[in-house]
Amino acid sequence: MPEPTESAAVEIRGLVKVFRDFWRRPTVRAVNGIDLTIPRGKVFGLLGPNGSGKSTTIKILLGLLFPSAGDVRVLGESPRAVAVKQRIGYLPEDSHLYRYLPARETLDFYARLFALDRATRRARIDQSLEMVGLAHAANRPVGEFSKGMARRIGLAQALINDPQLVILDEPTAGLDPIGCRQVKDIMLALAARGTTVLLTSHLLADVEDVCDRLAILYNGKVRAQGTVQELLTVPDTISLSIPELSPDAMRDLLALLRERLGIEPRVDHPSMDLERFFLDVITKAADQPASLSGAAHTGRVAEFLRRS
Amino acid sequence: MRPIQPFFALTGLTAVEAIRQPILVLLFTACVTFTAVTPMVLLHTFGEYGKMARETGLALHFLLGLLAAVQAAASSLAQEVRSGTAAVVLSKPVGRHTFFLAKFTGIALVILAFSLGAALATLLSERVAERLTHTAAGAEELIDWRTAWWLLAAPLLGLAVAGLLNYTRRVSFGSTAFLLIICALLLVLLTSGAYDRTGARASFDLRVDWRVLPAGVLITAALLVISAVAVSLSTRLRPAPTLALCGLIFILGLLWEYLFGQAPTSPLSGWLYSIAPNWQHFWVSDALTGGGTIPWSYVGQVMIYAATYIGAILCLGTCAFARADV
Amino acid sequence: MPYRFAHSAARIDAIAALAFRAAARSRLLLCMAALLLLVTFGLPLVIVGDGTLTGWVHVLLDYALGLSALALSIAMLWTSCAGVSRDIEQGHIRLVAVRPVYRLELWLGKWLGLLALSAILLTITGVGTYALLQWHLHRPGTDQDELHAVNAQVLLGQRRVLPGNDTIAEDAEQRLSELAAQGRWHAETISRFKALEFIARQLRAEWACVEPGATRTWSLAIPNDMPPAAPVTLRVRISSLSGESSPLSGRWTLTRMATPDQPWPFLLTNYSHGMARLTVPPEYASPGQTLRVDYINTPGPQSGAVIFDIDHGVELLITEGGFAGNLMRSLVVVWCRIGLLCAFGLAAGTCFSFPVAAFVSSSVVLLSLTGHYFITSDWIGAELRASQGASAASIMQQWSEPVIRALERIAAPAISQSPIAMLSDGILVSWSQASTSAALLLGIYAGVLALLSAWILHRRELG
Repeated sequence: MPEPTESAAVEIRGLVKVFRDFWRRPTVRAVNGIDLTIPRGKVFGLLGPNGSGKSTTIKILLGLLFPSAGDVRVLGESPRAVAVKQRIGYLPEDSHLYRYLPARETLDFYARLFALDRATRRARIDQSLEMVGLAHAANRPVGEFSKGMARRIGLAQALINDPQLVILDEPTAGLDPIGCRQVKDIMLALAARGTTVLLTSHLLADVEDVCDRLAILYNGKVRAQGTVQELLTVPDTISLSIPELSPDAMRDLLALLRERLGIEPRVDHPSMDLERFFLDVITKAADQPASLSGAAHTGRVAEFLRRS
Repeated sequence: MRPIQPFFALTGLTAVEAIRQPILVLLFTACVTFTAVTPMVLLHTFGEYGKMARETGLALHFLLGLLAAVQAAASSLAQEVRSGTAAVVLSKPVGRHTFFLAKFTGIALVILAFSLGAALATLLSERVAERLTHTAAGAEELIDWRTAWWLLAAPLLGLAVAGLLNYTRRVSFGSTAFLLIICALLLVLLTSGAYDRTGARASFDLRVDWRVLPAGVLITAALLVISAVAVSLSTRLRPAPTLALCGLIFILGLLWEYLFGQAPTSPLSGWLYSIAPNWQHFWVSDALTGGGTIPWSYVGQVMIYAATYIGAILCLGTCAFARADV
Repeated sequence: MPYRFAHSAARIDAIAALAFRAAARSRLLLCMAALLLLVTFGLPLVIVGDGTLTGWVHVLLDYALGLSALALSIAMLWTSCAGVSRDIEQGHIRLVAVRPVYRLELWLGKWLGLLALSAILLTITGVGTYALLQWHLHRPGTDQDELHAVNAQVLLGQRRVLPGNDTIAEDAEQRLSELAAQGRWHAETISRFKALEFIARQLRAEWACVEPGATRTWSLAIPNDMPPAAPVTLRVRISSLSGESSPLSGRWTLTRMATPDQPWPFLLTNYSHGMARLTVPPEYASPGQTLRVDYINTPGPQSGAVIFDIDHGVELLITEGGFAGNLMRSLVVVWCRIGLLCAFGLAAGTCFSFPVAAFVSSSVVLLSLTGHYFITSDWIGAELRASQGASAASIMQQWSEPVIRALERIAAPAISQSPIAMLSDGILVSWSQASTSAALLLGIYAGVLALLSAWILHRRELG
């Protein structure tokens, strides 16, 4: 179970990463002086266009790449310290799973790297497979999975050690809307129990839905950062929602607003977003029994990730 | 729409991709360097001047060329199918047979270039090897040291210039080095023609033993046969099993006569004889011992055998690829 | 600390199990097992030996088992090259490196997985070989005399006792001094070290050759720890004969050094496959006894020189074990060698991509195995040149020799004695030899490679 503390989960000061060619000449300055603090227990979004330095930053946080300059602390330690990795979960942009291993054995392998005992491993694997909707495909080799299914197994392996910090690189890439919703629910559930989540995504709606704070990178630099509320609020406009009115009542209301406040209000019907509509349809369809070869929509978060 | 144009485009791309792989440059450099070093290090002659250098050069040509051919062929097609590149190409107006044949032709071009370099190195190495030479001081056994050092310098020069071009112009090191080493060997061959064995200036004459050439041509044909086998196998297999199977076919082909005798003794062995490549047809360097030659008519017959074999294997490969999932 | 060690062992176990399962699931294990069984069963069926049962057993052990071991060694070397390099290329290592796994644990896990894989494949080969051998020997119609000969000469484990009167090194020094005094040796033409080694080889060859009328004496000390009542055999091995001469026609005597005045003349009656054997009487074959063997090449009108084997001309063989145990121990030694190859392949794979690693590791292994041939060729060349008064050794020779010699010295423990050759010769592969191989090859050599690879992996970016 994560131990909430006051200190930041990730602290980055003056981070620079320069890639070099065979002759040691600089070729790309992927990260160019980033300062970032990610508080514990929050969902933090790292946004930016392709090549902005998101994945490089994440790989440095994981000790896969070494910084050219600057200081990085993850959960208070150097990212190259092996001990700190006990408390981190990582889902890479490509799943990188062993194609001949079945889903269950894949999860078992990663769980064994954390030296978990057999009973804990078994329980967590069952719950994880249930959570990502692949319990029925537990014994199929991962190489036979679709991209979305592989992504789900990737997410399950990232959470198998019940980490304090979860780093998710494009977690919703390749997932269907149900999968996207599930991942977002998992992230919110994790944050609710004090786990720090760092995610990168191109899908701004996803980030908006789940992130407490976000930073926008461009050309290796942080261009904006703050809470979603701070960044997205349009300060000089408000919206007002009321039940459906008759045409006469509406005419009167608009006239009143024009007369008393001297403004020209805009009126339209609020619409359900496509994601919610799609989920409604699928939830209804899922109630009818049928054989399944892909991922199932369970809407559940694993038991071991719910305990606080 | 002319189908020949995508064929050439794919062939060129396959060849360039193959020679950019570090392993190919490594194999080629190793082949040329070891061939160059042999007459400088191993001094005994096994009863005939130049025999050791010639046989080592041809053996390196065969063995390292085989590794290069199988590696390039096995990785090219299988890798592209696995990475999805093949799917992208086949979604364009390119037929599967065009794609498959272009892959083989691209690999074949690389093998021809490899063989050209290896044959040049063997010709020069044979010239370098110690032999009885008449000088002003009388007859003595001499190594052609001038050509020896030039020959050794050729791959180093090719690598150095390729490194320099990579540094200044960011060109691909692998392909540039590969081509520059061949150019350097050609330059050494032409320049060494102006000197005799003692290193003194003399009237222009290449002074190499052209008998080596047909032996090199036969080895090149063998490499093309194994390339065809490897490309065909890689339509269905991943690189590692393709490499393993090609290795097995190579060893079986070598041991064929030893294991099963020189002529078929039953209908089954007759059938096996006709389908298994017999490398003994291609490895005839023994014929050069004691001043012997390999008649060009024999080379012609073997080339027909190789062409027939390649044709048949490619037909099978085309059929296999036509039904393969990409 | 024990807690940390247990965790470390659990992680290594997980990685080893993964490597093994991946090999099993990708059908690599199945294909390799099939290939090995094909060689083991196929070669003895297709290769026509000399028609004798002994010849067939040699084909099975030397060719089939030897080729299986060679094929497995090459396959495991290449598989191990892919072990780390493919993981890096395909990104699998990213998911492992972000776990609490030390680089050394990662390396050891991969290596142990490959060791387990090779152990299983070797076991399959060994069991297949043993089963085929038993089936062939006990078929109806097998000649019982031949069967007895095979059981008495090949299918057992015999400790080898070699002559102890080796004064070759001093003799070589003396001969070199004589050559120098005569002005026939110059250090700038051929180095002192090289000259001594060359002369030593020459002296061994001279010692092995017995002209008509000449005598040779060998001194053989039976070890004190010899098992009581173990059968002892005197084996004579001949390289070549000239004229009508034969070791059977010469005069042989066996003498106990404790009673030198009572020599026992004996006859060598059974000469086949270049060897002759004598069962040493029990009163001569007691522990701690030193025996002297004398041979006179009896001169005659038709006789010629008898050339004994340069390394194993005359030797005592003490039967200490059976074939099954010997087969098992020799496969253990082969397994240790394969383990070292796997370590080398993994080390190469941490530095280079798969094809480059496979080429580099194969080249180094090949150079280590054939280095001796190159050096010997070089000596012969240098000797010829020196005898013709030619110039000194070239710069290339001076460069290449130390490299080849160093490789050969490093590889010597791994290649000095072939366990398969010993097995097919009926020579005992002892537990001490097997455990020394394990300690040296798997403990020290592979340990050094493990530390080196772990350091490289630690320094290398894996993103």
